[in-house]
Amino acid sequence: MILAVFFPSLMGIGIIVSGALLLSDQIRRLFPSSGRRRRHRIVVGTYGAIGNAVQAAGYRLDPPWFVNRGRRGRIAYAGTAVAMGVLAMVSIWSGHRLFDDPLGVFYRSPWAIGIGYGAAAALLLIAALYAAVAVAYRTPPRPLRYLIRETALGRIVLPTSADHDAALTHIEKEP
Amino acid sequence: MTGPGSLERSTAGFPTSFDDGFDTKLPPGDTFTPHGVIEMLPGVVPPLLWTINAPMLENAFRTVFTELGADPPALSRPLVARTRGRAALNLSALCRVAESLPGGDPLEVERQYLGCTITPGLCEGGSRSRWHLLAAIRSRVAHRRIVDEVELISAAAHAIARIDIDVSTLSVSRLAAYRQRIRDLAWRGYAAEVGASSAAGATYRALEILLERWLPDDSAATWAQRLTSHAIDREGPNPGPPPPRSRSIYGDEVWVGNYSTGPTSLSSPADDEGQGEPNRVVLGLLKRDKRWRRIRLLTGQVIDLRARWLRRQVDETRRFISLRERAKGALLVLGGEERRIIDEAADRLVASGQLPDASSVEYLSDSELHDMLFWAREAPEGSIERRSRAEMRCRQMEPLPDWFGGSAAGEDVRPSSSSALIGLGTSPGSATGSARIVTSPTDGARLRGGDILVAHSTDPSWTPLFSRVAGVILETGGTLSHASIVARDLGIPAVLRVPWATRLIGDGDQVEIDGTTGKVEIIGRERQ
Repeated sequence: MILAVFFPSLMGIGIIVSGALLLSDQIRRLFPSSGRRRRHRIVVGTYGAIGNAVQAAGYRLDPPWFVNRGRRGRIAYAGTAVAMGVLAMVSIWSGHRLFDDPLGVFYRSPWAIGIGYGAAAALLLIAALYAAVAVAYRTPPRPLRYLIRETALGRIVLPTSADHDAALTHIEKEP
Repeated sequence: MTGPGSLERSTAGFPTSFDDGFDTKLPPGDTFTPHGVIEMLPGVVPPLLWTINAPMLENAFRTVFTELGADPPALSRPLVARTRGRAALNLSALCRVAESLPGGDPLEVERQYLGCTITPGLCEGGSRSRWHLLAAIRSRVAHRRIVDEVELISAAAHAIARIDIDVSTLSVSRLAAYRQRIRDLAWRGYAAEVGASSAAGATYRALEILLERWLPDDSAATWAQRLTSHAIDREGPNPGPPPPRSRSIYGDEVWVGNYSTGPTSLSSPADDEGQGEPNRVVLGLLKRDKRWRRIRLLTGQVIDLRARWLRRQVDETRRFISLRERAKGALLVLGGEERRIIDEAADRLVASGQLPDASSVEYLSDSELHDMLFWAREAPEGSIERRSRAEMRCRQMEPLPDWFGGSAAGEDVRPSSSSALIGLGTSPGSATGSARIVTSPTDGARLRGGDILVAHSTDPSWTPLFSRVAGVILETGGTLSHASIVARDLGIPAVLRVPWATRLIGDGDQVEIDGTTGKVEIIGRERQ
């Protein structure tokens, strides 16, 4: 009896693990990690280290051009705004549903409503920001420009490998 | 042929006070070895270079231990010491650190960091090795940080070399500030290098253990070497064109380029075969294991988990080996920049009459140099002459034995002048050729194709020499030394840790080396 359960279980685990690994291999093959974020982080760190040393010697360096972020596509902003808005609505609806469900653990619990509205507020804020960029895409106001440059609202201006190779050769000596 | 040494006996008459700047007081009972630090601090290290480099190296070890969750030893018990003017590593302290590591095994210290056990019985108490979740997570996090840090330091070092600031135009305060920033980078560089070395050692050892467990015969060590060949990143990690030549902190002009763009790129017949061949052979051996085939069937493995595990281990090991080479290269470049600053400071001190000549700067300590330059102080009276004499005495002494100190009894063992020498085979294959004793990379012009390179130790600045020779013999080093890694990449045999090789083998002698068994045979003498 024990063996009848044990071996199929063991084989089942093996098959599941193998399947998961095969799946992850395929996903990795389809969507290979470009390592761009990491490269960006390293170039920024490198620039910081070199800039510090060179500045100490009385020189000034221009940062590599791609250490800043740039705008995404307009459709990406509009699409993200819509998706975030829909998610906010779903969050509110879920909160109410949990609150009103007499069989649920959150029945008449203010936490259900609170969390639902809190998450919705955060999502709506993000949706509003993305929508604002989509609307004022060509000439975003200064606060939005700042957010695009400094936060995930903008995408990292990705260097091609040639750009990346050239990045730290853009350094100029300015006595 | 190798043996423990008693420094008390062999350094009789040598002043051991720190005033001369050449000896550290060794903690009583601790065992030391020159291996593991000799590539970073080769030969007799003058006071200036010692006072610059030793604290960085000490800090690097302590940083890595802390990141791995181990307790570093008390500051009064240095990990890096100097005796006979030469750097040595405190093996006893390393063993104690390994004991304090969750799941750590002191018996693995030498295997992982030095490539083989050289002091049998030093870290007794039996293996404590067991899988430990916390240690595994910590080491994974530390490894990720090391990867980023090596890439950052490497890119920064090469960019600094390309910018090529004219230090002769800097004011004293600017020169001191610039030097400090370069030094900050070097501190990080040392920590990255030691971290990458320990990661490479740990992953390489894990690969060896897997192969020992799985392969039917005792060929695990050779297969581990073959599987981890072609580890060096030929394309070069650093943005932009590399500076083709630079200077080391020792003042020699050295090659610091990327492996594919240097004066001699790393390409050899082994490249055609590539990394795939050893992989295929080992995986074929694993597949023929009937017992494993049954386990696979029983456990429902659609894909061969063991083969997958092996491939991942090989990839990870090769990655860290490559990173370590990169970190070493970065340190060479930063050392060259430090040397330019030191030379400039020396010239100014000579011009102001504070130093008799520029080469005397080597006999100052780092703080003395700073005080003389910045505060216009004089060198401590008589210190330069005294230290110069002490250095001369150190140079006349024999190199350090494989291990010394502690409770070891005995003395430096000079091997008999036998024609057969035994070392550690670190790159498989065999070759026959004329031996060339080389003392520095600039001495490499004497090498002809097919020669056997014989040296005390090497570092990345020696790389162009390797593509000209048929084999390598060194007195120091281990499986993960620079020489072993490059030799494996080029497919040439290497035998390391051959004691007294540079004196027992004559320049021009015909030698036959076997990188698999570690045997070196002198088959014909030049001067007979």
